[in-house]
Amino acid sequence: MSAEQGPGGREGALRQRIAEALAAPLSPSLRDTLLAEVAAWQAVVNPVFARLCKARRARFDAGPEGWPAVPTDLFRMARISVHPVPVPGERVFHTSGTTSGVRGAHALADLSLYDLAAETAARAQLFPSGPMRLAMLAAHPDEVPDSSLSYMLGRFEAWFGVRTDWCWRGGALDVEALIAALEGAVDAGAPLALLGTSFAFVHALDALDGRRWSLPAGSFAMPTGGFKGRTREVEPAALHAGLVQTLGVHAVKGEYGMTELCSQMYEHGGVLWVPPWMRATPVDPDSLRPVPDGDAGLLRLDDLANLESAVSIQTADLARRTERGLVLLGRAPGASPRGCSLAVEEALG
Amino acid sequence: MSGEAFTDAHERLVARAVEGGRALRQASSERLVAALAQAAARLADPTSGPGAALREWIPERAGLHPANVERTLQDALAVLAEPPLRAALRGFERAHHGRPTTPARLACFVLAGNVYTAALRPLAWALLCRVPVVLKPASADAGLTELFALALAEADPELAEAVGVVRFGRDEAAVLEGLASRADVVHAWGSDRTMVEVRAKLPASTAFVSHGHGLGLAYVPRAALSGLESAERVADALALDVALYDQRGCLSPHAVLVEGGGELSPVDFAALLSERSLAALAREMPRGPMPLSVGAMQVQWRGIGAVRGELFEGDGWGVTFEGLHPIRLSPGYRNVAVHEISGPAALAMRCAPFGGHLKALGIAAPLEVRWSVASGLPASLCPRLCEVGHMQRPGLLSAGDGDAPWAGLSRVFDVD
Repeated sequence: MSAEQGPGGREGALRQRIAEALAAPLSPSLRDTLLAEVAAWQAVVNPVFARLCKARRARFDAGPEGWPAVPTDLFRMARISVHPVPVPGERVFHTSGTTSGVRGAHALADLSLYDLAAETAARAQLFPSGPMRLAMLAAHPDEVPDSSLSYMLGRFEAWFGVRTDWCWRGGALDVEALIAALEGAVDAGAPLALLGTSFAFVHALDALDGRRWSLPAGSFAMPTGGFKGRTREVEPAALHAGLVQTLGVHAVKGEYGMTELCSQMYEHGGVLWVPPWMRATPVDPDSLRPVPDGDAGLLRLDDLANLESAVSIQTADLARRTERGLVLLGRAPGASPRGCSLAVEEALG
Repeated sequence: MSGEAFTDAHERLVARAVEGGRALRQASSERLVAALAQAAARLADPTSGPGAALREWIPERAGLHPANVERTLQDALAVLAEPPLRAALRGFERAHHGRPTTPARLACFVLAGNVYTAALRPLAWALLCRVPVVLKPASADAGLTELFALALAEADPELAEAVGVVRFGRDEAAVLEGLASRADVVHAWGSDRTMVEVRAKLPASTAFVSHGHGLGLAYVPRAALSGLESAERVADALALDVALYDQRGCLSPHAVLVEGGGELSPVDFAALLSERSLAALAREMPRGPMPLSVGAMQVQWRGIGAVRGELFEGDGWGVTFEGLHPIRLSPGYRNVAVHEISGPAALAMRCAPFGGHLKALGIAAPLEVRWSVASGLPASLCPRLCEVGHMQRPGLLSAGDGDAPWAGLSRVFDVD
């Protein structure tokens, strides 16, 4: 490990500064300055990002559009890391897969920034009132250790769970566990957070077969992931309506995250909340420059917490900036389907 | 004409075409050739009614720049001039060595895909084989087929009765089934999924000729890069193959396999292709608007290419140099990869995985080299081998998917 990498080197110093930035109010200009500093460093120590920067003639003194974002497909084809060779003990998260069957990988030797970003965002957006009952519609991290979603939900259990029921076991929905979690919350008059993949929620609605609950105030559902390329596709609005009708939750807060990122965003009322340490920018596919407000573009994400891989990620998701804020438009038709929901369906065979 | 059911109107369309077949079967070759050539000339003439209408409609509906439409239109119509039509008939007759043939009673052509001129060659062959036809144009065909039918009616109203044009959606299975069940032969173009769907709807006695998913590749032997002037000619020709129809057709090259060891290295050829040839075409014939869904693929494709090797890009085109990496499918819209290979044997190995999906192989070499390359291809491959610069311009006699262009239209019989 050189002076650049590792806790005692430049990486450690940057990690410390990013952690401080995540924990305190962060202005957009300071965020962009830090992003540029991290990107410039990654262009030296991350060989894949370095090649991309060379091809696209990156500049780090002209704002985030001055350097390229790493396309998400590259995570399927190369190791995107500031540690070109695996570090002992690193955790590798894998994407759910695509039609090609090749899964992307995101290796992290130090999960402290991931944890800090996940906890800070979730505390602000999901759990402002503190810990509550949790029902997970995703596999436990012990069962799927390479799933970033499962890892995050495992951390949520530790940070925000007063009682947690894991309702997806052995690759299938545990309906009895889910019903017990729902009835337990109703009986105790305690709010319940249901967290999991969109596809698992669809299976849950099917399995509950018309039964209805009215969960206590403060209960909410947090679906994540899309359906593209799956055998069953449900419009988000229809899923949200089904969750409200069947479970009686008071809010549906969609999570927008991906294996290639260390931070998460949350969707409320169709508008995406972006944490202050991230930038979310719809860009033109030819120029890769931001599109005018109101136009649809491909979502570029800059995430300060992505210290170990690539600070800027180019997704194939469509978004539009409106007066209300950033609106997600879903995956561009024809782009490789991806998302955590795929793992669930694969498990179902 | 639309609707989910096979209606009386569809029935009448079929009956009229079949009835039109009588005159068609009795027509002399000269009459057929003259009618087709006159119709093509009408469309080629921008001052004619149908010619002007075409040029007004197609650029926007097909998503192509007017200069691209003009070029592709003229290329597609050029093969319907009298000399190539006569040559096609001679080729057809030679292929049967004087054995008696009989035309199918009715053909059904189902086109789908991105090339708006795709219907012209099959339509011409149906008429040359004296087979009445009902034809569903591709959605990308912004009215060219209907205008050709109109121009044909102006040239020879009696023969034009044998052509019925009908549009319907892919979900209107009853219409397709109704048409196909009345035909002796069905030709279908489009995705592999479309092929499976169409085939499943056919009666056992109906012949089916499938033209499924496909792509093109190009091969540049070392000798073609023996000097800068030669390399520039090759790059210009290849750029044209990429730019015509904005690389959306099944003959469009997705990758160029360049033999190393020439005076110009494969990576330098990639730079030349981008910075000289595609840049020039972007000025003369700019790319049409790109759907955002393709843009999403382009961003990923170019990013991977940049990391695999080198990326050369401009406003409306991109070239990657990907060395020895496996070939990837390009998103089209003027994005092409250059790979390095060691020679013809490596070419065959690189092409083999594409099987029957490889529909065109452009080669920057004279005819004798193209024959030599053809003889070295694995048995599963049957692309059209042509000189670079001509990949998008198949002649009337060009085979498609390993079949003669008249496959199924004409049947040989014996009297023993």
